[in-house]
Amino acid sequence: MSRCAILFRLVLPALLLAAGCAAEKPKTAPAPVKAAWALGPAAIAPGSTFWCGIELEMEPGWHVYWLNPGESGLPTRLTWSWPAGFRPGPPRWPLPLRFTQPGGIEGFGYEKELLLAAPIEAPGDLIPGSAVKGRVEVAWLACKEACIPGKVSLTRSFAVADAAATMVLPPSVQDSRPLAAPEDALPFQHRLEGTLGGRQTLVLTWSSPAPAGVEWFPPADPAVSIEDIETGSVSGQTRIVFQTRLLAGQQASEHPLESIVAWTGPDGRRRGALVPIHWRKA
Amino acid sequence: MRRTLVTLASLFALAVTLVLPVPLAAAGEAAATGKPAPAFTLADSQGKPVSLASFKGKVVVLEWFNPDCPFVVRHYKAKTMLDLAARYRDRGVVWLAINSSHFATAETNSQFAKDYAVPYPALDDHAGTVGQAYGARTTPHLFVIDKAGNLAYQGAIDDDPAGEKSGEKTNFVALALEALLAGKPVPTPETKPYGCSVKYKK
Repeated sequence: MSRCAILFRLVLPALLLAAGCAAEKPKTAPAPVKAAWALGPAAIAPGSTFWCGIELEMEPGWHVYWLNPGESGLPTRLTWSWPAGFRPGPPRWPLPLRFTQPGGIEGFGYEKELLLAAPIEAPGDLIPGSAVKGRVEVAWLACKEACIPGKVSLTRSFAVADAAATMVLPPSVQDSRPLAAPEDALPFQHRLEGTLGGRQTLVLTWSSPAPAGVEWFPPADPAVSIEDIETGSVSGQTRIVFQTRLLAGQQASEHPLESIVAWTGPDGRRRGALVPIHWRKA
Repeated sequence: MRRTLVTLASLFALAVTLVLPVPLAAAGEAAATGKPAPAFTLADSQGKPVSLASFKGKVVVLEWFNPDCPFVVRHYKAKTMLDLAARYRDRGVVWLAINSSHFATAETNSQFAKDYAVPYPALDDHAGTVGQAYGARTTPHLFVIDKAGNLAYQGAIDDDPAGEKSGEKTNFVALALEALLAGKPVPTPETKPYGCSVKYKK
């Protein structure tokens, strides 16, 4: 119950009513999320691809959302502004967490921190010795018991150099990032059984015995409801069974959508891999 | 193997369903489009009971709200629901706002009604039973019930979850109401709702 409501119930002098409570509404609590431009190249070489990473730091108990926020919430969003010719790619999302909110409302997102890194392709006609400025608008919805939206615009200047060292992601970023074929070798082969509108199964055939703690983070398709996800492994195979339903009057995505399979490795570390989901119509 | 387990589980579930009386508000069981809308009686912000049954023969819109949710605040500042309710009131459409937050009280609901000059009832469902019967997941989450008492639309108010769309927005509730009042089928009977999670009791 909000402080306002308690005042309302216990004290209730007429004086306190509308004006007092309404004025107190914009909460003075500190912002639950801080965002910073945490990762970028020392210099940009013409025609190179480099990484920029935005870090969100959440106050204890608060979370922000993954690409598919689940049954409520909003995905965290990066909107880049670069000079003409720069091509920002989609962000690489770290492995999300699954949280169930009261009433059984499922959500996918991040607690404590989130580093969203995106590859950015520089044009070939940059002039060494000059400087370029990048800007990103970071927007999120942070929720604990309440939800507070946030938005911040960050800028950073970069020198243009003849040649820049190939930028590799720091291990902390690399480790929390799901593996992505073809550049990474996945520890399983995958296939999707069944057709849209029915019960479907994502079958994972592992190259070694199936690991523990396998979970699936389903894709975000506004036209498709995915329910009753059940995961079970027998020896080297994991079957992720779920019910799909095409919402009436809507079109399912024609393109493959990003989903993530997560598991716990023999070393006890949580790993993950991107598994594109391409709906097959009945 | 897995399939066998699943089949056994569904057979068991079926058996349980057949044997036990199913409560009207089964947790997590969403009301289905085209099926009868679950009946309810809830108190408005003056404590007066409001029954869905009393609006028989009318088109009814149910809007899940929570005054603390920024999505609800955004739509009330923009008068999205207020304008829509006003536009269709003369055509016999009933609008009911429902608060299933565990902290909802008649006082918080009447304060909400006062803050935004809400002319329609703001109902108290702090136990969450009506919210669960409808499968309300977010605030806002909207349901439109046709004159026959069947659910004709459920989902988002519009196609702009982040509130950042610069061009024309599609208001799914307006589309549903226009279709129903014209005696036509609702073009988009279901969308995914967006917003804060409904703050059901733990």
